[in-house]
Parts: sequence; C-alpha cells; structure tokens
Amino acid sequence: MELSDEELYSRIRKGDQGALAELYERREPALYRYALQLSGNHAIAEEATHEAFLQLIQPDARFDARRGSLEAYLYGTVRNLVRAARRLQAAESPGEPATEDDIVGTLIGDEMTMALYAALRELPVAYRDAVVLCDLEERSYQDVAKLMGCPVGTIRSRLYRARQLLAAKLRQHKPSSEQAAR
Amino acid sequence: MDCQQWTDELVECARRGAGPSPRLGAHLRDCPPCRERWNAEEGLHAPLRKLRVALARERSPEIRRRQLLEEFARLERPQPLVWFGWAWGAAITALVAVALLQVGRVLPGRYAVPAPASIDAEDFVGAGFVEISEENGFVLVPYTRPLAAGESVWVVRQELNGAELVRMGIDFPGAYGQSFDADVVLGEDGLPRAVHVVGYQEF
Repeated sequence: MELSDEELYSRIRKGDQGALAELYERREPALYRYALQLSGNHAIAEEATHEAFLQLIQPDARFDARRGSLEAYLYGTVRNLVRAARRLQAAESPGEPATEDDIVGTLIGDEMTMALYAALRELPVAYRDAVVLCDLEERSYQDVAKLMGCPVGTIRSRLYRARQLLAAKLRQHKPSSEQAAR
Repeated sequence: MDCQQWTDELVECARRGAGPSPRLGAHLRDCPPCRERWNAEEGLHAPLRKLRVALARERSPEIRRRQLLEEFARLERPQPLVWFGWAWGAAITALVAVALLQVGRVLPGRYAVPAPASIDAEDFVGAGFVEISEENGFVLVPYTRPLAAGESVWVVRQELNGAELVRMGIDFPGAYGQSFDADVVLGEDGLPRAVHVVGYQEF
C-alpha cells in the first residue's frame, strides 16, 4: 500500500532516505511545473523546488500536519520562494521584465499557445494558481481548494474569472498568419 | 436556468473538451452572450492543452535529486525521541535499583537473603522484646508496632553503619560512621523491630 505524504515525512524525520526519494519522485515534477508556470524561468523553478525540499528535510522544518497537508505546505513554500526570487530579480534589474520566458521559445512552438502563456503570466497570482492547478495540472476543485487553503467555491469562481480574462486576452491576439492573410 | 447557471455549465463542458449538451446547445442558439462565452472558452481549450502537453515532461534535472539526497545523508538530525525514552527508562530503572539497594541496606526486607538466625524467633513472639533483647543483646527499634501473637519474624544478618542505626531511632554513641554486622529482626510487614550488633561489646 502506498504511504501518504505525511507518513513518508514521518519516516524522513527518522532518517529514512528511501522515503525522501519516494516523496521527491511523487511531488517534485508537479511542483517544478508549478514554479515554472509562476516564474516562467527554468533557473528560478529549479532553485525554488530544490529549496522547498531542502527546507523540508531540515531538523527545524516548520511543517505541521495539524495545519494542512504536506503537499499544500510544499506548494506554499514554492510559491513564496518564486515570489521572493522574482522580487529580487526585479530589484536587481528594475525596468526589465522578470527573466524573459526561456521556456516559451523552446517548448511552445504554437503562436496562440505562446499568447496564452504570456496572458497567463499577467493574471493575478490567485487566478493563475487556479488555472495552473485546475487546467494545466488537471487537479480537482477539491484538491486545489485544499492546496490553496480556501473553499471549493472560491476556486471555482477564480477559475471562472481567470478563464474569462484569458479568453479576452486571446481575443485581442491575432496570430500573425491571420494578420498576413488579411 | 439563468445565464449564470448556463455559463457555469458551459465552462465545465469546455474544460472537459466536450461539446455542449443538447439543452445547452439549444440555449446557445438562443443566447448571443452565452454563445460568445462558449466560443471564447472553446478558443482556450486547444492552447491550454498544448501548454499542458509542452510542460508535461518538465522537471528538475537529475543532479538536483542527487544533491538533495546527499544533503539529507549529511544532515545531523536529533536522535528520535524514542531513543531518549529508552535512555530515560534505563536511567530511572538504574536509579530505582540503587535506591532499593540502599533501602535494603537499612531496612532489609523479605527479599534479603536471610542469614542464619542468631536467636530463636519464637522467643521474641512469646516473651516480648525487652527481656529477650537484654538477654540476647537485641535493642528494640522504638515507635514500631509491637509484634502480634503468633506473628512470624525474620532475623537477617547484614552490614549496618552507625548512621543507619540512628535513622532507625537507636542511639549508638561512639559508633557513628562505623560499620558493623548486625542481626535485624523483621516483622511480617518487613519492618525492623530489633537490632543486634554482632561483636560490638559496648552496644
């Protein structure tokens, strides 16, 4: 039977390296993608995800199972680390957009998808979280509500509003092929 | 259903990538605002799916996993509480054992190995302590319950020192700090009733 995240964490606290490897394998890819969606930058995503796990294994880690799930804790840590990295980046190079999307060119070949990606990055964080977790990670409303620590109805309405904003942005965007045809 | 409810439904249909249900389809034909929202939602579906596919295999490089596991192996973590539990348990057991040994030296009980009786215990039961103690060199331990008629006694020999005798309430002038072999008379309750210090004439 598969151990829960919290059970794995309990083993990690006792020094079980196998439990850490299992938890990492289970949670790291989605956390990394989440960080990538938030930051648009591989280096920040990589660093934030790694740091979140590093913090988790420290003897003085602040995770408390009574306050929420381990997964929610990890997402919260990654979110905070990405925000901190972006703030730092903005402070170091004011006026420049936060590291330009190094994933866009390499991973997304389609113009509309690139436009969507750009629009996604402009959404307020709460709306972006809803789209990333519900639509891109395909998590249920209930899961996302637990991860974000808010009611299901709030997630549903955020997603509704976020999709409305994204659709409006995409309507403004005309693919160059369409423009060329005119 | 009003348009808000239809919109909720059409958003869910679009998210699933499914076409509108017949009822929703009928509403979309009659309601331009909902039809517009449906078209916008449908327009989102394809790029969202492409974005999902594009990022699906993304994850941190393998070296990050190795670094984490190495860091974990290097960490000095506090010993689990269970270890402390055992340590405390062992320490308490040792303390209790030492305390019992100490008590046993002062108040030898039923668990002490009886030394050969130096007197006949029946004499104590029948005749009373005062006469017997005087005759046999025993001194009564003061303020203790008198032995009942027929009560069994143990006489055990063990090493006592002057301080221990004083704690029992027996005055032993000049012998404080010295150790002696003594026969101690114990009642059935394990408490001492009389002491005979062996080979100490002044007693």
